[in-house]
Amino acid sequence: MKIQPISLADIGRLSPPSVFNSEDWIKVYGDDLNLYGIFNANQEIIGCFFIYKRKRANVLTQISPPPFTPHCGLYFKSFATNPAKRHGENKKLTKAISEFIDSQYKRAIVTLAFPPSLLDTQSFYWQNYKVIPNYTYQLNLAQSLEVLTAQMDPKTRNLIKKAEKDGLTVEKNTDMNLVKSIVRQTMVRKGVKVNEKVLSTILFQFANDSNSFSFVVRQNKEVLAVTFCIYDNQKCYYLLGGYNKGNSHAGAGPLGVFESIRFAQKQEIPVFDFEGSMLPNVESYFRSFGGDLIPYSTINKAPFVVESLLKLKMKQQF
Amino acid sequence: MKIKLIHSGELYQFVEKNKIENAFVQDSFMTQPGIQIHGIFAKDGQQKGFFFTESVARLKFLRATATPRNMPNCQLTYLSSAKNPAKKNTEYKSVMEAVSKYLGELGEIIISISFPENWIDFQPFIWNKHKVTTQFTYQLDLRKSTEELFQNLSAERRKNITKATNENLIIKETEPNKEMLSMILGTFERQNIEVENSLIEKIVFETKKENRIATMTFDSENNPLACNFCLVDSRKATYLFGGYSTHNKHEGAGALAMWDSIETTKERKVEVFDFEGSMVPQIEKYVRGFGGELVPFFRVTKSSYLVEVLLKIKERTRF
Repeated sequence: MKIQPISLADIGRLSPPSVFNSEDWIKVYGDDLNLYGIFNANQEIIGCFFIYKRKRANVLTQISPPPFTPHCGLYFKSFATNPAKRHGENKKLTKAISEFIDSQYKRAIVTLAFPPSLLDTQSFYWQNYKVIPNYTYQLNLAQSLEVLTAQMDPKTRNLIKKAEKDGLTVEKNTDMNLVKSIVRQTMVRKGVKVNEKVLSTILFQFANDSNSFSFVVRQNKEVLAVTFCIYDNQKCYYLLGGYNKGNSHAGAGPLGVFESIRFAQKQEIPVFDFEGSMLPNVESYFRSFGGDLIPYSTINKAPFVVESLLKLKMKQQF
Repeated sequence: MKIKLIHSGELYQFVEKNKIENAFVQDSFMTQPGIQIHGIFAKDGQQKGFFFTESVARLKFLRATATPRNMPNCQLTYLSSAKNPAKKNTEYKSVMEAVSKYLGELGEIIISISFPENWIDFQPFIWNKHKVTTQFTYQLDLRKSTEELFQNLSAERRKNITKATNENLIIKETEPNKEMLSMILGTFERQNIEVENSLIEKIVFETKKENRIATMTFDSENNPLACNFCLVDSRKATYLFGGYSTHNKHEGAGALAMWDSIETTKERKVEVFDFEGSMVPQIEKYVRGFGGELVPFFRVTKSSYLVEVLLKIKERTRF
């Protein structure tokens, strides 16, 4: 198995089902994204992934998933039906990726995440990567709305009820400037760095009716909260959300999220994904919607000295 | 939630009262020197769970709180009372939060503990600056038919077993015996794994009959070739030890012993066969051939900054 740079058109020919592998999404990052193909012994392309390269402290290179993307977009076709053979095939593939990263990005800080579908990360372990789980919550939308509501934390359920009782309204939103402004406000408030360029490209160039939707929650015409989700045929991802601190209502956020879940269900999307939940405050909020906690793997490695330095700040990762 | 050390008597009482099936909860494991039994208690003082650790020496001069010897993980067990999924997740999170804080309070310089595969929420450990790393085991779903299980074997493993059967190797479920023990200890020796022989002997000879599956293969002249020792309860069978004779060899003897253990487990109506961790490349490749599903489980590690940097030199994936 071999890993080689590929073009956007090559990815298109593979037809990976995830929105994060779609042409429109990849275009958001322009030349900052390195696209790679996985080739079998017959030189046929059987999979792909991408890597986002950025500078750290001016001298170091870090490779990671791009901003607003939860993972490296790994997709591959599996051909074996026998379980033992399938595991062998997966191992060959991950070995090829780990050796490729090791050879191409030897001096880089590697903090790469894989989609939850990639279970077998042993090859990375054997290549001295630290394989650490990250988490997201996912709701199974095949369940009825009544069941989904019953599974929520009672406090969140009551907040939604209270919001409706207090006259909060929720409706589809097409004003991406509004999304940008509220999301930006929220991120700045939480001390999260915003990549303005990427955020704008997602909202103003990527977003359309076929890949995303947004809801706005209002009270007496005042905007209280917004949500922005992107989707494919398999999953709807809660990508961005925020609330207006000046006009807050504790039920505004949950009402917006609940309406987004309801809308995704109406579109017959089987899963609603909260797209990463590693910050304690955000995690407890997402947890309250009653989804399943889904781990996904991250691989972490850097040159020994760099790792030792990074450990000072990020002991749980290096 | 409160966690404190408890005696084996309290553990047995809790397990019996709540009808918890766990083959590791018995004297052959609970009397291992250095083992610590921890009880998890609700605010009202009612016991809700338990887990085990062992205090061991690392690098000769450091003490570590670790997974007990001869156990694949700390056997964390907790009886949840929540029914609502969001509340249940919150309850499990509280357990992990309590365990992570408690382990820190034990005062050992290194923490390195594996958890059972049904525990997936390790965020409290991550937030508490532990390193959580993924480990793997293979598990067979024994609800599948024997034919399907056989078809799922790799071609090589199928060939091993067929050859062993065709060449009239004899397979027997036996009482543990000295030959078996010697083969098991020989395996550890060949792999340069330091073990306390008396502990292995105790497990092999004193584990309750209903909790073990001990299998041996013999050639047509009744010479012992290989053996397999599994621990079993109503939930699953766990492969614990194996070995082969260095005098009488047959390439299919080990695979046949393993296959027979799998079949015996299935006959006992147990639904899962666990190969008990497969992180060593050669072992992983061998075990993979039995066609199981790869199942992740998690290990948490933590130490002071300097000790972690020191340990990182040898164990980069862990520290």
